[in-house]
Amino acid sequence: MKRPGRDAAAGSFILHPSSFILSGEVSRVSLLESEAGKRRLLSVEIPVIERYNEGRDPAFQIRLARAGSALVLRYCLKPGHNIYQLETRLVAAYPTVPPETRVLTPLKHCPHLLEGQTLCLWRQGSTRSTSRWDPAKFTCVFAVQAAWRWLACYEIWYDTGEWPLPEAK
Amino acid sequence: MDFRPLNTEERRQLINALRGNAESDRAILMDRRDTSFAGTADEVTDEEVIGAIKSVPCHY
Repeated sequence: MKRPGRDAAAGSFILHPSSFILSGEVSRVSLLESEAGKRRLLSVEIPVIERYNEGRDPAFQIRLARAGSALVLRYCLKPGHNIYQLETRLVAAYPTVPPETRVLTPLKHCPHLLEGQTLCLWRQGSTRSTSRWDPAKFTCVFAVQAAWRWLACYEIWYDTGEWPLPEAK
Repeated sequence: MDFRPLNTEERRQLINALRGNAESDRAILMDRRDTSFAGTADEVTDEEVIGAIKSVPCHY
């Protein structure tokens, strides 16, 4: 099995042409049902998760479960002294549709937190590369890393009342 | 959850890391075992890459 490219951060692999979904194909991908989706899962997402889990305490490893037509990643993150349980859902239309991440650990109401403690991570339709999900570049581990960064911001906001990063455009 | 806050120095380091990540694309490193904050780096090795948070697209 060919591994994703290693020329970028783990969550933002530049995927080899043979293992990623070409842009014209993306809209037809259904992660668990279509051949393209299964190929994406087996050649990109699973290897990246395995690599993420290597050498990690079992309590902090990503665990995968199927939930209907979606795939759910369950894991814990600890950006500071507190441990948060999270769930990242790869819906049937993933990777065209970005992953949805929510925190299962109760949080205080804060900026950038949506209903159901879903994290506001990507702006739909943004034309700025810094604000949008790119299915040709990113993997589910990228969503885990984005959640880590969100939680780091939350820990600072909890103490100071100020979100430490500016709004995306 | 009994929230345990960062101390002043920890908070300062984390704020600097987040801003360096957003403004200068400086990677934030996650501890290999428990994902805790493990500093920052301009360049990351192959070993570190899975735990290195590059400048991620985000709505905040």
